[in-house]
Amino acid sequence: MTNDWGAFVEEFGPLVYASAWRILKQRQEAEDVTQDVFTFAWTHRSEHVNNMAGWLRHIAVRRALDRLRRRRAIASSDLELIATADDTSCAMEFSELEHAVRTAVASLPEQQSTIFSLRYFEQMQNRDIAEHLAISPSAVSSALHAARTTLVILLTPIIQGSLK
Amino acid sequence: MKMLESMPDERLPEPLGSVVTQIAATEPDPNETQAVVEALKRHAPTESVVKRANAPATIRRRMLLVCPALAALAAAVLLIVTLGRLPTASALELLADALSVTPCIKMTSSYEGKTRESWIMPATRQSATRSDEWIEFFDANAETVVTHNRQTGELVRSVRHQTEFGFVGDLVSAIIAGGNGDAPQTIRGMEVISSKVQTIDGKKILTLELQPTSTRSVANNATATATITIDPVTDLPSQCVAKLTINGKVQTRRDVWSYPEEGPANIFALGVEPSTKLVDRVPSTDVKPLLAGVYSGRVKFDDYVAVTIQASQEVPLYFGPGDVTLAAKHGDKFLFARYADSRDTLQGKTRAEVAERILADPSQFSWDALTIVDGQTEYRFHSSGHTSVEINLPAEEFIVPSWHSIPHYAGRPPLGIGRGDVSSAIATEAEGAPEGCVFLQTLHGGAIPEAPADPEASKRIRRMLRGGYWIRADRDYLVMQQDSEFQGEQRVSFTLDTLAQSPRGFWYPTRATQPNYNVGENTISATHYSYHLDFQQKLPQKMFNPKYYPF
Repeated sequence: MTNDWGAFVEEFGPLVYASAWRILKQRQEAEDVTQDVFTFAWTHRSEHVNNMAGWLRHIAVRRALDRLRRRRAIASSDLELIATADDTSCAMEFSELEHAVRTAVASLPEQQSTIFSLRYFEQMQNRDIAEHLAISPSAVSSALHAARTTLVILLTPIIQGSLK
Repeated sequence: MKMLESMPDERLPEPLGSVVTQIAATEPDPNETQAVVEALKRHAPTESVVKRANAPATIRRRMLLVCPALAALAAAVLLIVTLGRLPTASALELLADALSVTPCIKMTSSYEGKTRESWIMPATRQSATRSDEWIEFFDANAETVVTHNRQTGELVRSVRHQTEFGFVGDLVSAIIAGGNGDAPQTIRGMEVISSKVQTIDGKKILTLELQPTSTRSVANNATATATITIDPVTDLPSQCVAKLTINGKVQTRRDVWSYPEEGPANIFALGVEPSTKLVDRVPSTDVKPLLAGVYSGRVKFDDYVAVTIQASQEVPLYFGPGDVTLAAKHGDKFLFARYADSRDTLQGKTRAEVAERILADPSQFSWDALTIVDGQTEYRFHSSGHTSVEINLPAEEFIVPSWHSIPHYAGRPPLGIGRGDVSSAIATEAEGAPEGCVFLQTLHGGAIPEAPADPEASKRIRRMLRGGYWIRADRDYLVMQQDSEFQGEQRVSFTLDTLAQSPRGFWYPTRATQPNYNVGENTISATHYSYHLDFQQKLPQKMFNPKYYPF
């Protein structure tokens, strides 16, 4: 890994910021996460990392999900947040559905939410996710299956409600 | 736009797949990205900053969300530092960082002759408590708590939402105020009267005098002080002595802080026998959508003003106190009041006439307020006046008294599912289903297992009572009928008879029936509820002011 902070940020900054932004959809928080990720990575720059981009995205996703969970805690419950995703109109806009999906993903167990986000939001391959998390590819598949099942259960009434 | 390449068995069902694909394709504005990158490039971390950055703000804030009591104390410390030292952001950061790098914070508390140990693990968002009476382990990620009643031996897993979060808002405000050089004057409803810094035997002793300002506290002449010892080397609090004076009586609580390398991993690490049978009250995945549906309809329901009439007869209607109520929901304001007009101009009319006359101008009649909610503050009224209570519970747990009479609660009551004393399951073969309903069966045991310290708990019945909710998904998850056990028999306890739709399309009851099983006489009578809603009207603001009502 380079010892040039500027070059390091220049190369990976857009990628990390985009990963955080996809989950948070809020500039200030995504910027905070980006700073956290780079500071963390800088302190571990002596460690050998095979796939720097994947590693940084992994950290960014985890930190961003942490942030989202904090929002959820402030709203007191995931059900409340999902329920209040649309507080003013009966039919949910597509962006509000996105918000509900993000919130539901953050409500998954930590490992599942990270794996789901890396697979579907970051479009990483299962074997790459497995490598970064130091687990087997079958464990990744299993977590994805559990996450999909839970999300369908959590979101079906919301999405159906939006379509009526 | 990036395309999601999924293996066939990993494809998400529609429309979920489309939404997720859209999120994956989302990219921030390139100019914004460039600005972020440029700003970050200008702030290359120095070694000292790197050290601090190992404990990022997220972890600090997560810690403060996990355990409200510790958060309160931590914030009090922050506040004192703000007042006692130079109120700079760096001073606050130092203390916050000192706390946040600790993997575990342990507090041993002595209060009224009892000792309690508490742990908080910021990185894992978990906390634990152990006293002579109970042991509990809380996981904020999973929103579950496992409680072991040391007297009865019960081990129960139940739902716990993050119930206190307002303090974090105060904390953030305190940090911002400190960063701006302005010492905060209040925190969590307590006014800062004075602060004092002393150095004794090389230790910093910080004393903070607080004045609680809630109605109840003022009435009881309550005052509070917190004396905190800070380790000058680590900048961590090592002891806190809090004194609360209520009506001249002093209660003292002493907390000793320590910082072990790791905290308990689960409840069994706190001394609970691993072979203890776990009773799981967390709703299953098939029950959760029903709960979400019921709750969602209540939260999203239109604003309205309503008159509810409950009586056994129809016409002519002669009603007494409490039979006619007024409910109004305007955004985050809510009013529930009882008719208290001494004039008899409405007696002997039909229900519709009574409702119409009142709804023409509710302020022309006299009302006894029962509940007023204004944002996060709830006012409950008693004959001697009102008390205000700050609400920090999720709305699901906030039980409005007399909810049968409140239109958006009548078909969407607090279900209590997830509590330690309630088990639930969908009964697929239940008989006598109202049209289109599924039966969410409950077993309700009087005592709440996780509240062994409650002196009333042992007096409550221990037998499990069977009951449940008939929920109709195609009517916005309205609870069409409630059943409960009565003298060993399953009986209907509340039924929605007729429904209507609000302007925004939400179903709500217009008529409901509550059977009364008359013991001894072996007869059944019924109370009939009629709900008369006006979705256009707005009550005058004065009617949401507690002082509007005579006491």
